[in-house]
Amino acid sequence: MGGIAEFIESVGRALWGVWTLDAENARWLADDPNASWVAVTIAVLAGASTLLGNSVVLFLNRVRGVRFALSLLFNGLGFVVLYAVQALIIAVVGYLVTGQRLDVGMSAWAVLLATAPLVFGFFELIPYLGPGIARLLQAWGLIALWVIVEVLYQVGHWTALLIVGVGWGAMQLVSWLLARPLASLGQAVWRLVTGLPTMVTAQDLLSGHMFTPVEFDLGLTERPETR
Amino acid sequence: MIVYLLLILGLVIFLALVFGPLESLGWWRAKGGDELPEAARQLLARPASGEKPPYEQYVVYLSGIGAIDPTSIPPEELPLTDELRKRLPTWCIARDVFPYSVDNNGLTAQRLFAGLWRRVEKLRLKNPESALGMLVNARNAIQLFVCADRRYGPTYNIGTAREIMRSLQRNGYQLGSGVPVTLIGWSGGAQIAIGACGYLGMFDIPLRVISLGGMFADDPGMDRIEHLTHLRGSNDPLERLGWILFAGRWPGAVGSPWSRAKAEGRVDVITLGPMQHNGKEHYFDAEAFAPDGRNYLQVSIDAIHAVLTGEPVEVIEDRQE
Repeated sequence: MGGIAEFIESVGRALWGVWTLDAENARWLADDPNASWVAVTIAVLAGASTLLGNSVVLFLNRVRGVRFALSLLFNGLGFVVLYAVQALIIAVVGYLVTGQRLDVGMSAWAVLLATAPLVFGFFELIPYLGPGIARLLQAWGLIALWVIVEVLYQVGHWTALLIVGVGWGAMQLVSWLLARPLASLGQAVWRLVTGLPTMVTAQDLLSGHMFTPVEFDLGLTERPETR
Repeated sequence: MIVYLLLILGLVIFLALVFGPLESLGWWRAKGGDELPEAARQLLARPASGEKPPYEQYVVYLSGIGAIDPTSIPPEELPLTDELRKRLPTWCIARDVFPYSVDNNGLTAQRLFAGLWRRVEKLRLKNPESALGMLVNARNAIQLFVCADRRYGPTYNIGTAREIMRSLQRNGYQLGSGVPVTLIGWSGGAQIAIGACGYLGMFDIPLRVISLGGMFADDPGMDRIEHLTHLRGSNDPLERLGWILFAGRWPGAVGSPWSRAKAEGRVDVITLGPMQHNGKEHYFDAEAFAPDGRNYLQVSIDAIHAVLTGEPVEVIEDRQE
């Protein structure tokens, strides 16, 4: 019982530390034997919070039963792939910049921990302001990753910024290179799972925003000639 | 104690915001998703009848966020449409669309909180400035943001577009006749009007929008509008907020529907005078007078009439210049 309470306290402390961009907290957590589970718990909370918004839209968009569960699974897998790619990129870029070989597990830990701001992902539900809030949360997560990478590699502000910045740029490049195949794959899986057409783009997939509540568009995506 | 109250208030606001889109999404899930695509396809496939509609032009008035149902809009707004009907007897001036519901279902109709809204309506009739009356504004303002949202907007806008189309057809509008339709949106009604145009534009209707003190986003519906005239008051803080809140209307917003419409000369922004949004000296204030002797209500009516008929708009000159 005491172990669970301690673990919850660690998660709470880690969340607060990431939210407040406290480098000392990251140092403490790096030495915690439960660090990996704390990071996984935070990522699960962040994922669940983000999914909350998406899944309400999904449910109301008449995707039910097994299809609903499969859609959630698909979205969850999307998150896992996204973070795995991001962790790999941070590890590679970190090695290129500092010459230090970082365990991919540690890199994944950093990436998962930096998802702490996405615990507020449910705010994305808010009409009109939601997507803007989501972008702010992503920026907040990126800054958190900067602080964590600084602790992890034991480098200065600017070197850490370089690693995170190049990592972020690499993710954008991957997104650009894989835009078409990812969009096709995403649409194929979406159609298979929901039976509905989709407007999901590669950018949506890479940012973890997989669902768009549109079952048909009657040609609205094409801009009309203005009379 | 104060902290707890603020937390509760914050939670209530958050829940109200989160539940805001559920009405239109729930409607879409329950029936809209089945009915509308089919109805739209049938309308699109139907050949033009070739008949002339009974009116020269059509105008649909969409009220501000103070509206409770299609027949209960704040009394101060009524003279606008009444006067337009007098001045333009061969035009259809409709005001039977409730813009803050996807199926024209007024707040006092069959709803979970209909009793509450009826009570608020009674209170507001006794005292138009009643604080409880602001609940209506808050509820409808959330629908404005639902309408402007790129995720929730499509389902919302297709519903309001259908209600506008129904209103036009009730008044004899013939699709394919090429008879122009103008939507007048006061305050939040401007956003609803522009959003609905995204779908109304599919039916080859020449569309214009007149925004009176409108708060609106860079909605994709702008791409379907022939012309948007935005009439504003220089002392209107809510209208000004629209320029700040909706990033697609910022000067650097390259490629947004608003910037595109402006670049193509499809937008006019006209400052009517020192009008405010609410309280005193607002667009419908018959007690506030311009130096030329007209009251503010007349100034607004004259301006809208001028835009509708293609005449120059007479504004209140700024004496400070």
